[in-house]
Amino acid sequence: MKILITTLISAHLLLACSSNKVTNTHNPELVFSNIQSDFIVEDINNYDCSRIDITTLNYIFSTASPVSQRDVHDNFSTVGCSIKGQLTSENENIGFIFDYGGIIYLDDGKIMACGEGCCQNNFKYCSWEKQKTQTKVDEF
Amino acid sequence: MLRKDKDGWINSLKIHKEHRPAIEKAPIGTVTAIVLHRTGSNNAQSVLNSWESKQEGTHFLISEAGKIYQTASLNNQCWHVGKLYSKCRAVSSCEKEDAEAIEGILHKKNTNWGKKFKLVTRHELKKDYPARFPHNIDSIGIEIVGLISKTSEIYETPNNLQLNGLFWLVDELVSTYGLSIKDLYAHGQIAHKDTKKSEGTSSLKAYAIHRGK
Repeated sequence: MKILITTLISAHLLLACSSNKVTNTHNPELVFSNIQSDFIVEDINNYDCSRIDITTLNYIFSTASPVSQRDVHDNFSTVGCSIKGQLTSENENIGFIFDYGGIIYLDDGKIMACGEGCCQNNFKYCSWEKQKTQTKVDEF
Repeated sequence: MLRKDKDGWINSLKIHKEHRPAIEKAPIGTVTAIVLHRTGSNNAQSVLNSWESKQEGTHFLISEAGKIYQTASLNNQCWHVGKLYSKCRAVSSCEKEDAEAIEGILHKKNTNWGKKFKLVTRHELKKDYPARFPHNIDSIGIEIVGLISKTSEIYETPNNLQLNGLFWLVDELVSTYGLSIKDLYAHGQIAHKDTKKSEGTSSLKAYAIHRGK
């Protein structure tokens, strides 16, 4: 029993939790609360990505826009460093994965992505690129 | 083997021409590889519509019903690969100097990761294929309509109609360009696309089974 209680307390302490509400700037009807994560980075490409904190995560949720899979496919690059977490939205608890490339995959299938907002504010993992409008020889 | 006219279009009843000039770029070099993509959408028409004006696209598109469209001339590059992974880093085979150069880019200070990925891509493009992953300059791109599954978070396996179309097309391209199955790549494995590196992977696996490899 003691071990169980100790484990639960430790887990609680490890989970950084934000009970404050985050309102999305693009769609004020999108409100997220209880955003939490253990911030443990899964780093599939061995890029040694640093941990982010709850302030950064809140900022990303506030500036990300709902996008389609096609938008992500066409306009974003993933980093391969990601964290898992949970939040509450419309009274439902929803899990999420955040790829540092600025993409949030919610467990209910919705995707949100932080492109220009993240890049302009120097989120160093930003990998969004403005849609090309003219031909460049060395385009990637 | 496919019959290709001088303008890079295939003459075959199985291939439907839907020319999208916006996605055609500079002349392509020697074709050394094929890259398999997924659209992130559930129908071909929306993709064809978007390629009326978008800059990025692939030479071929396979619809939800397995219909094969050729959308760009095989004489031209399409922008379909994006920011490459370093191949030798991915398979742990870099020479010391090369490894240091790549790690130097990846750990460069005051540089965002979008820029780092561009620099790695530029570094890789100094190498000849197959020392690097294929890129726009030397590969044909095939998009297959399909979405990431909400439950598994990886791209769904193409349906049988799509796979039949894909197998026929890839067999023909492999024969036409003198390629092997080693020259067939899943987009998610070579460039920074989906988080689980799944784009094109199920198509590639299915093709390998089809070929008995």
